Amino acid sequence: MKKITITILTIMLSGAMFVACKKKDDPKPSNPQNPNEQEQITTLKLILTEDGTTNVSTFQFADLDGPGGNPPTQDNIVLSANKTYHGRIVLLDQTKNPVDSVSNEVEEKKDIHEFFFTPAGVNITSTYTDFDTHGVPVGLYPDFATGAASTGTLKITLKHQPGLKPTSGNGDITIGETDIEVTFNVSVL
Amino acid sequence: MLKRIYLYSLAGICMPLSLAAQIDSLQLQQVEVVGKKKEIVPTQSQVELSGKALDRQRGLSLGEMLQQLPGVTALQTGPTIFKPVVQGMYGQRVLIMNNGVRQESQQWGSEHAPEIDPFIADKLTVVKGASSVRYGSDAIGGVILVDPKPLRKEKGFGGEVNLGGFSNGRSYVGSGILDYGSGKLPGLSARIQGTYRRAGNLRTPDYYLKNTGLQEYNFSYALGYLRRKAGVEIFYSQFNTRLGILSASHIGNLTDLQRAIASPVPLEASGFSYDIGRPYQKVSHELFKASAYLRTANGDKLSLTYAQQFNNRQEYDKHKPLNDSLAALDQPELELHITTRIINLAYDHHIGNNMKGSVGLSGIMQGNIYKGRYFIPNFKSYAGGVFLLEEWRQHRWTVELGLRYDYKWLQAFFYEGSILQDPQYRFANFSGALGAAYQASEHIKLRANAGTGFRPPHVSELFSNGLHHGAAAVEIGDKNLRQERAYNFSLSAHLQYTRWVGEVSAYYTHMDGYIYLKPVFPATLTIRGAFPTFKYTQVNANFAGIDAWASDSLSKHFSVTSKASVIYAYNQATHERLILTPPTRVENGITYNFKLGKKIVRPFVGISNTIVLHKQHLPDSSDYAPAPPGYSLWNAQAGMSVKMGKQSLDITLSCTNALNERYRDYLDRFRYYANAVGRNVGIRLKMSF
Repeated sequence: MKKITITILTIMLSGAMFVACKKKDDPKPSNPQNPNEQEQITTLKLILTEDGTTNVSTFQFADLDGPGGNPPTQDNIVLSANKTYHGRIVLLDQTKNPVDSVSNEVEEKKDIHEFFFTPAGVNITSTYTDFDTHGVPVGLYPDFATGAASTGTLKITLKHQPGLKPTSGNGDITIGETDIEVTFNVSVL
Repeated sequence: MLKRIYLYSLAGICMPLSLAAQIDSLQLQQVEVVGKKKEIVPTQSQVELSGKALDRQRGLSLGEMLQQLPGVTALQTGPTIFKPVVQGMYGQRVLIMNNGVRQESQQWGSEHAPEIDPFIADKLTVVKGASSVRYGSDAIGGVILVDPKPLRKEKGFGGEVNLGGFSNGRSYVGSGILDYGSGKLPGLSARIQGTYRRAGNLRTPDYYLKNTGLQEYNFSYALGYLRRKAGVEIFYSQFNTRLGILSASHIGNLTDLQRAIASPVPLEASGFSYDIGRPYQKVSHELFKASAYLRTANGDKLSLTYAQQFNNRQEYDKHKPLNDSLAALDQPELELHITTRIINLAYDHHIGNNMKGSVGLSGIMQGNIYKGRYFIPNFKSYAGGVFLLEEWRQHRWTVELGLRYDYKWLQAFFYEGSILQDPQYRFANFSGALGAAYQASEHIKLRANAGTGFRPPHVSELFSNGLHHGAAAVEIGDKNLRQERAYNFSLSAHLQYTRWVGEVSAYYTHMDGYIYLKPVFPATLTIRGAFPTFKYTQVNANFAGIDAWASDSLSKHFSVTSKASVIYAYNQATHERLILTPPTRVENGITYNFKLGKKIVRPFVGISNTIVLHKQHLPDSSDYAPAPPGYSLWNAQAGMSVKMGKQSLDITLSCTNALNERYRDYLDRFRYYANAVGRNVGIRLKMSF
């Protein structure tokens, strides 16, 4: 009996010691992690090349300090009437050095991502030119066609749809998680 | 260095278990003889869940069990995360004393449930109203005491096995306790205890809730050498859980949230599965406690307690990093690690025949570290308190008087841009309590209590800054918040006439500098779209309410029980109602007890009904969706004890939400996304030996 008692005692005390001593290698509170080490998207660039020309214009939305803090900066998109533009979307993480191109990751994982372009009040239509392995649009390289002069907005949405992205048709904006939702003011002159 | 820290931190904030254990016993559901010991009448309103009433809730989480008590509700994040709400207060304002040690984790978060295995508890007590003097600053809303059974005094082995199985989520739970008392060395005793709990996707009346399973395993042991004159005891417990979060609740921005609210069913369907995928929480909590006491010849007692706790919380977003090499690491997007050390010294004394009390010192030191996404900063803090509590009793009167002084030093560490910030804060103040109890007659006990306490703002309230995923909100702290002070008054009457017993308590709390999240406009624009934005704001607020319960043994066979809680909480300046306070709640039950042979002890069947009213008069634009309509649920229960030689087997059958009602609860954040769970049939077995 005494042996059992001593054994129990020893096990428990050693357990207590184990608890008391572990986790020594943790960082100190006074040395916090710099939040900029986290992956984030700070910048969306829409690069438009006018069809049949070398006229390139770039419009960007940038929030270099992430959500909150300083408000984001945003360009107004100005296009000419009755033209076609070949677009390219670049996503950047400008908190990293060198700057990280997040759009490359979207391209690699095109089966779970899709951009959607929603104009309002402005005469502009978009056409997908790039597709995932199932033939469903991705939208990193959209074409835009402008109509008569008008002003309004263009909303660009990137949805993250792991296991949810449709495998046929043109995709579905209502499912998945929103990675990007940026609304530009657009003038067609 | 360590020694110096302990000197700085003559801190702590908890009282010896003995004081807590003296609290009288109020038995709901069923009136049992409490024994011959002289009943102590506390002056503060409190309710208790123990014995058979506790057994009937076994297998649920702590917060869910406590909802049985009048005046106690829960802030829910889906069907598995329950955070206790006492008379409309929650979070930092409600302290949980786990085996005499204040539970220190990330209790500021409304989706952070207490990391406690309820199977450890033999008794759960909720003390309502400001309890700062006894339990330390912060406890301005109330205290939940989780008390295990005292260690075994008799020689030999004893124990208990609990098993449970539930239809909804196909969940099951097993828990065992083994107690040992030494014969050779009287006073030497030990206990080991463990629990395993598993659940799969829960189901509403119409559909499964994707990714709402959980897996929990807990373990504890205690070892004591307890003699009349002196004793030492150690206790260790470990709590580990992995909790799935409803997939449809992790959303990208305001547009996604509005889409989710507009949809009558969650936007992600699923069948049954035990798998827990992203998003999920993984939390572990360890507590180690060592205590010792010395008792003098006249019964005075000096006790010293040291406790340390480690809490590690990992939150995995739905979304892995886009970068493949980062994604392959499968790390949590948010990790918080808090270490707490507490030391308490208390001297329980008698002065003459009519007066007794306790005087003590307590110290607490804490360090918090975050990894991953910034939400709250790193911090370290040292706090200390000194208190005096005296109780005077004569004839029918008990008078209590308490005074406490607390000091807290806090330094936070975080980056603003790329510059390290390290602001320091100091908070110090008094808490006080005055109470009286009067045994007016053998039928009526009256109690009155006035208490005041303060709560330093928490780092989350001072420095939160960022996107609260899941909540799809930007939350912004305020570095200039001051202490919150509560003035709490309560009156209660305990009535007992033959077979009828009941209690009604009324309370009023004035909060000077009540801190809450206030919506601010416009919404914050980010690259992910617009997010509703909330800022921690201080206002003067008032809470007034009534909790009541009554039980009547109508005859030898029938007994009825009723409970009701009403609360009215409002901003003093604008007279607007405060959000996230519980709607009015009424519960009624009837139990039929009968006889069934000699081997079957106390069989019963019962049904009960819970009505929760629609939460009305909420300020406009205070919420993403209006408060859901009220609802009424029917539950049924049956049980008996079967004698098997020296042992007995307790069997309880239960059915909650028996009519498979479709409803959503105002205090459940997942009401935006899905209905609450449907019918759940359960069986519980308890074998004591």
